[in-house]
Amino acid sequence: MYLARVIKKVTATQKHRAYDAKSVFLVQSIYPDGVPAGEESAAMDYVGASVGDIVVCGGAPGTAQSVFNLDKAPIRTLIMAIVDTIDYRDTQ
Amino acid sequence: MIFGKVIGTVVSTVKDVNLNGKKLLLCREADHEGTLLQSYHVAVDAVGAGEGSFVLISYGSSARMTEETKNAPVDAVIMALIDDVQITHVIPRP
Repeated sequence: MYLARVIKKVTATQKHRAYDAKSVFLVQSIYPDGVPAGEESAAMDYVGASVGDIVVCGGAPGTAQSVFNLDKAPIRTLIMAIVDTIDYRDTQ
Repeated sequence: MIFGKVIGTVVSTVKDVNLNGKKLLLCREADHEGTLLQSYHVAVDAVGAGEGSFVLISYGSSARMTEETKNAPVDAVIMALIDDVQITHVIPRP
């Protein structure tokens, strides 16, 4: 999984039923100190995140089926945790 | 699998229910000699790793193949604490 900041909400009216009642956000991966680390991607929210939150994103093939028992659900990246704090010591 | 060094902990109270009681450790990727690389990963600890531990991280769907992570939406799990790396054969670069 990776750390990311929630940038924007993605709204879509025409979408696969697996996405009903779920929101999708644009997230940008960040370094632990908050500096953007590059690629942005879309992630399905599972925990009630909002724009500006620091979150933990990730997901592997089969997550939707095996973890959330949704069959045939085209979901790859999930927002799975909202970060309170990161206690870390990094060396340059 | 990748080598990594545990540099900290990610604290989260609002998270997916399948992550309750799991330790989310912040790891910096390293090479086999422990030289740190510019890539960070959040991984669930399955072997009692702590800050400073030199570890092996398994990522992708295989990360769900441990008792600790089998129902969790994780894609990275710390599954080994590395004591030593022995190079038994060096293949010269072409």
